[in-house]
Amino acid sequence: MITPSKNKKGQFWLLSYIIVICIIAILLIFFYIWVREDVSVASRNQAEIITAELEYRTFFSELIHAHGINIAHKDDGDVEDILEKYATNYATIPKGGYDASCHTEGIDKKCLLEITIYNAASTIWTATFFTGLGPYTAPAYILMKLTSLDILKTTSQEAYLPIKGGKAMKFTLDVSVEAV
Amino acid sequence: MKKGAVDYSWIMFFIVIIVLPVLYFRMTTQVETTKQAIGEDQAILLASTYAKEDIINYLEKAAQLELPTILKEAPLNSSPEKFNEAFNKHLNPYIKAFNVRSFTKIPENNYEVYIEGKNIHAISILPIKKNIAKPPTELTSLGTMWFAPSFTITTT
Repeated sequence: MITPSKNKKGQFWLLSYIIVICIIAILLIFFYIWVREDVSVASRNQAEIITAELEYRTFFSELIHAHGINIAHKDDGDVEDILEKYATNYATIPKGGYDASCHTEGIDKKCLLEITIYNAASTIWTATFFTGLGPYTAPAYILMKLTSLDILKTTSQEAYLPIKGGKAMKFTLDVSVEAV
Repeated sequence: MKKGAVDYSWIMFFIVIIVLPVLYFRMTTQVETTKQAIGEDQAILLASTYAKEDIINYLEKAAQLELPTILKEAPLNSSPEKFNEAFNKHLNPYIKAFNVRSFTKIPENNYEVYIEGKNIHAISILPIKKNIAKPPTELTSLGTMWFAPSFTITTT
């Protein structure tokens, strides 16, 4: 027989049970939101890293396609000019600085291209918030983004270039991106 | 409502309270690692198509450099066999020089040339086998790719 006191006790346990279930459900929902946010941020970062990596490769490949013969045959000073002009036109970073330095080792050439981005964070924020890609080119956006993500700040690539007379020189280009 | 069921639900509650932070911690540390730059293997695989383009670019630039000499030896209106021979003869030293320095080997005498107006299409006979491997020793191979190093140059 169910007495009123037993009924009251049963109601209390049932209420506790429902509260516990609700708390667990709320925790699970928060956990899901938490994890989903982190995973989507990580996926976006990965996509940006891959895009940046490809952008560096494209930059180098297009550079040697457009100026391979000149890079192989001109002296270091002229190659530095070629690199700086090419990077300026390719990246079109607003408030960007480009500085190249080259040296020859035997028949091989090694160059360092330093790209400095001024006010990168505010520029990216403005571009992202107001205009998506905004007025900037994709390479400019990617380079700016790289500095804000603090990844892939330096990269080294090399390729062989032909020199008249049947020789093959190795051209190495290190690119470093820095935000100030 | 039995007391046992309620006790069970409280136990579940405490398990969830403990498990969720542990899971979250594990997830976030996993995510943190993905925020780092991509792995070396992935970078090599991403670069492989560009490495292919760079080799074709080398051959194309070599042909451009030698074009005046080739045209002197075999003008565009000469027989296809003669032009073919001159083209391959002048490209071979560049291929040899490349092969000495690179792990990837380009076949010699590898082009059939087709002339179309001012365009010279150099069609490769054999493909190039490129090992997708870790530089600089290329001892650890991630795979192999084959590609035809055909290209087109233009006479001015």
